[in-house]
Amino acid sequence: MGSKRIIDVRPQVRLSAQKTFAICLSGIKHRLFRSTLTLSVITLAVSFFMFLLSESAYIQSISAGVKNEIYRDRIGNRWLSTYFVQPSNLEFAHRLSEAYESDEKRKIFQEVNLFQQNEFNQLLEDANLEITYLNYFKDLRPGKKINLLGSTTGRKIFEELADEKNWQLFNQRMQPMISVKLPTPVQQFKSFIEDFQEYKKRLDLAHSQWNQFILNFSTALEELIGTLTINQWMVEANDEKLAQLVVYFSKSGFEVPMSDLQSITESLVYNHNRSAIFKQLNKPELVSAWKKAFLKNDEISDKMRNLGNLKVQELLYNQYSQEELQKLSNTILYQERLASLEAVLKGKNENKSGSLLSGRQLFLLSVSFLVCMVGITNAMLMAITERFREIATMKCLGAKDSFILAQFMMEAGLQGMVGGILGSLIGLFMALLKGSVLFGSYFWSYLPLNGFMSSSLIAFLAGIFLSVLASIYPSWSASRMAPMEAMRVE
Amino acid sequence: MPFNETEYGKGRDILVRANGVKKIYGEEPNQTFALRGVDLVIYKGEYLCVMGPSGSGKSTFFNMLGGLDSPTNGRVFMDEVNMAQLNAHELAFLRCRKIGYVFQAYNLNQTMTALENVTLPMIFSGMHPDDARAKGINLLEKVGLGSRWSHRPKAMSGGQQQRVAIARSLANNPQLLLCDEPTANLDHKTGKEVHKILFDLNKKEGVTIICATHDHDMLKVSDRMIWIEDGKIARIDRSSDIEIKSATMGKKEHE
Ligand SMILES: Nc1ncnc2c1ncn2[C@@H]1O[C@H](COP(=O)(O)OP(=O)(O)OP(=O)(O)O)[C@@H](O)[C@H]1O
Ligand SMILES: [Mg+2]
Repeated sequence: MGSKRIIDVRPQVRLSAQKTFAICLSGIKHRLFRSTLTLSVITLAVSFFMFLLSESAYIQSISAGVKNEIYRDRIGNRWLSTYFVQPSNLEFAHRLSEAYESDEKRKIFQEVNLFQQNEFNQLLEDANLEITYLNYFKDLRPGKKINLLGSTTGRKIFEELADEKNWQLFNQRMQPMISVKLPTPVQQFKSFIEDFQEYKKRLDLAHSQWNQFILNFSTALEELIGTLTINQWMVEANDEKLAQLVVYFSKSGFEVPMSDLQSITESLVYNHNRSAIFKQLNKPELVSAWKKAFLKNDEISDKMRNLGNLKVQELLYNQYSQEELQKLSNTILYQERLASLEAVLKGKNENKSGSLLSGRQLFLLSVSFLVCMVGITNAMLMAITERFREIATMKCLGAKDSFILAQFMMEAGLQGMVGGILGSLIGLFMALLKGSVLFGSYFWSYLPLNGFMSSSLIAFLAGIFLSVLASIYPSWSASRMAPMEAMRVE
Repeated sequence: MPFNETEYGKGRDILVRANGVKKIYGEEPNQTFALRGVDLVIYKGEYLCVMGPSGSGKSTFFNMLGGLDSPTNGRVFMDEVNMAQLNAHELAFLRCRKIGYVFQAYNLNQTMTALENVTLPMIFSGMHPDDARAKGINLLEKVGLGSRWSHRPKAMSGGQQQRVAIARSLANNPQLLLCDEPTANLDHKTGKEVHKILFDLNKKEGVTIICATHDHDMLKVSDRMIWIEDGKIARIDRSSDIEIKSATMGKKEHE
């Protein structure tokens, strides 16, 4: 027997990722149709995900925009009520709570320099908690409310719950009610109740300081505005007078720019005109004239909307210029639109509590992802059964298990990418469609481009992740296929 | 005249040795005894034909020889290396460089061109793609398909596909070529082309060829003929005896 070796055996070299990828790619190019099944499953799941993500992105963006517009629209009244009206204790707490959430509104308090920073921050936080709890209990369904709290409402709730016995009872009743979920952890609510009296004292102190400030300020202003209310005075005021007001403000320790005062005045004038017209439209002789002109008995709001109409202008005794009436009519329409958007958004924003997706959406999403996983796994297993001879042949030609595994994982990754891109586009398109139907031109002016970008990135990555995850098992089983399968003939 | 192993093997190098190879498929009680103890020595440069009725265990034996499956019992030595002792990486190396496979169903990758199919084993062996291309074209020319390197299997006839498969099996200059019924799907004429290529390979380049076949043309050109029946070697004949015996063979096969 020969002693010299003809065959020396070494371990097979590992193929570089680049070469593996090249082979994978050439395979996919000629199998595009067959991977459509997997692809469509991924695309479907991703587009659903993308739809949910971008929907929540545009709702957030629009609600921020609408809030801002409402704020701007009502700035005149808000401004007047902030600096010239002494708020009630609860109103004051409300304002603190708003200031806690928005830097813009916090400025109002900070400009005045009344409060110590640290204590004030604590007060804002507590006030915000109080308002949150109050709103929560107010919005609770009546049946549940009675079950939980009896007939107690408002701040009395906190006072009663401070009693340990009442707290125990409350806690016992709340636990079995799954749908009752406090806006904060129970522990936080408990400690809020315990500290309620203490917080109330601090609030009262700040409140009286604030009221005192306003009293001082308006007394000082009397010199300028005389016996008129500031509201009346501002409606009549020209730029020169407004400049005087600016000086008064800065004497009291805070700066209000002239331009702010101008826009505030503008908004006040509109509201003033509106209520003046409102009064006129309610006069009996005008109501009958209206009926004659339009043959119907419209609501005041309908009449207001028609202010641009020439006949209406005649009815209003030519007291107001056409331009003015038209502008007023537009403003009214605009305000109505804002109010209705606010209502839509309020419904949309429920159960959202800051997180990206609501519980229901998350549930839907996990179910769809699960279905998608099963679908992809199935489709991949089918693709592998179809190619079992090819895989086995590759192994006969010297492919290592790792190569086969890498091939299928790469294919899954690529499918995930394509599915991710397609799904993102489809989902985005559907979200755009729904958004523009719901919100009209508002949707387009508050398009959250950044939100859409990050949503599509997340959805895209989710597509790859999903596809790769679902392909682990099929790829692994392909890599374990015996090479002798290649010999089989069916 | 019975086959004389000692006389035949004188002065030859042994390439493969099968010692008491048994293969049992399945669990009790549904066991299939595919091989019931096969002893065979294959010499370097031989052209071997394996014959036998369907289900006699030819393919199973090929799987053992080619390192595609391991025997239930017994051992297969590839040039004194026990195949059972090789790990997965070494087996892949062996399959890639030392053994070439030609399948009855060609088993070409449908998504690749003829050239890509031929160069695939070279890529697996780590050869530079440019070198692989040059060598691939060369091999395709050798099987008479030099001008069709860019065609895909679908655009080729069965005989052409099988010739591409042969070119592929030669990619890394294997010592041993295992052909499991390479001409079963081909008509007589194209089958003959394939025979010619295999014959030339054996005679001109000294590639050891083991071929399972029912094809009488192939028997004529082989050195030895192994007759397997029911998982055992029933008879071994030298090619010189075949012409005398072919009549009886034919009879047996048609029973
Ligand atoms: N993977 C397997 N599992 C179970 N039994 C098998 C398997 N492969 C082969 N067999 C059985 O082993 C026996 C031998 O099969 P083998 O494929 O080796 O026959 P063959 O000689 O190649 O036949 P043919 O000429 O039809 O190709 C047959 O009875 C077959 O049913
Ligand atoms: Mg067979």
